[in-house]
Amino acid sequence: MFEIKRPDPNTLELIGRFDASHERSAGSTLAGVTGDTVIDFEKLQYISSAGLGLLFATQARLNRAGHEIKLRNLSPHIREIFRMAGFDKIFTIE
Amino acid sequence: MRTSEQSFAREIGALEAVFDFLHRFFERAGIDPEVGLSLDFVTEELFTNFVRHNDATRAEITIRLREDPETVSIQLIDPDAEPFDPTAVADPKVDRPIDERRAGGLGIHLSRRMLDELVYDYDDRVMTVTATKRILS
Repeated sequence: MFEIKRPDPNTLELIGRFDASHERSAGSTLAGVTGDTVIDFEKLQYISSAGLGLLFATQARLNRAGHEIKLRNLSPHIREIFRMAGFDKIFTIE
Repeated sequence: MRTSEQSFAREIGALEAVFDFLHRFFERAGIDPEVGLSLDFVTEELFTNFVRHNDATRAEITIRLREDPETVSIQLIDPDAEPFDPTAVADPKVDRPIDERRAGGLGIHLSRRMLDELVYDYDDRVMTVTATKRILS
C-alpha cells in the first residue's frame, strides 16, 4: 500500500511503502508540485530507488525555479539511505 | 539452514508478490525488521533491473532465499537474459551538488552499500545474481 496525501498545497504526506509499482502515480502527483514544499515521511515505512529518483527529479526541477523540498520525520532506516545517497546534501532534512 | 524458492512474472506488478514471499521468509527466520527493509530494497532493485533490461522474453524470474545463523542470501535467476552485471555499474558521484548529479545508478550503489557480497554469474543466457548480508556481527 502506498498513498500520497496533500493536506495543503505546500505539504505532502507519504504513507506506506513507496516501491517501483507506484512510480507512475507518484510521479504524476509530484509533477503537480510547483512551490516550496514540505514532505512528511512520518507514515512512510519503505522507499526504494524508484522513489528516490522521483524525489531527486522533483527537487532538481524546483531548485531550477528557485524553490525547494524540505523533508521531515524520516525513520532511522530511511535517514540512513538518504545519507548513503548523498541526499542529506541536496535536501533540507528537519 | 532455511531455504525457500518461488518464481514470479516478469513485470513490475509482481513486486507485491515478491515482497509477500520475502516477508513470510523473514518472519519465519526471525530476521531483524531493519535488515528486512534493506533486503527489500536490494531485492526490488535487482528484480526491477531484471525486468527492465530483458523485456524480450516472458520467462519467469526465480528468487531463492537462504538463511543460516550468520548470513541471509537472496539469489535471483533469469533463465533467458541479456547480460547485465550490477557489480560493474559505476558508483554515482553522491557528494556532488544537485545540478552536477543524476539519479541513475543510485539503486545499485545503495544495494552494494547495504550488502556484504554481491556476486554475478552469466552462462548460456542464464543470469544469476546473489546478494548476501551478514546478520551476525
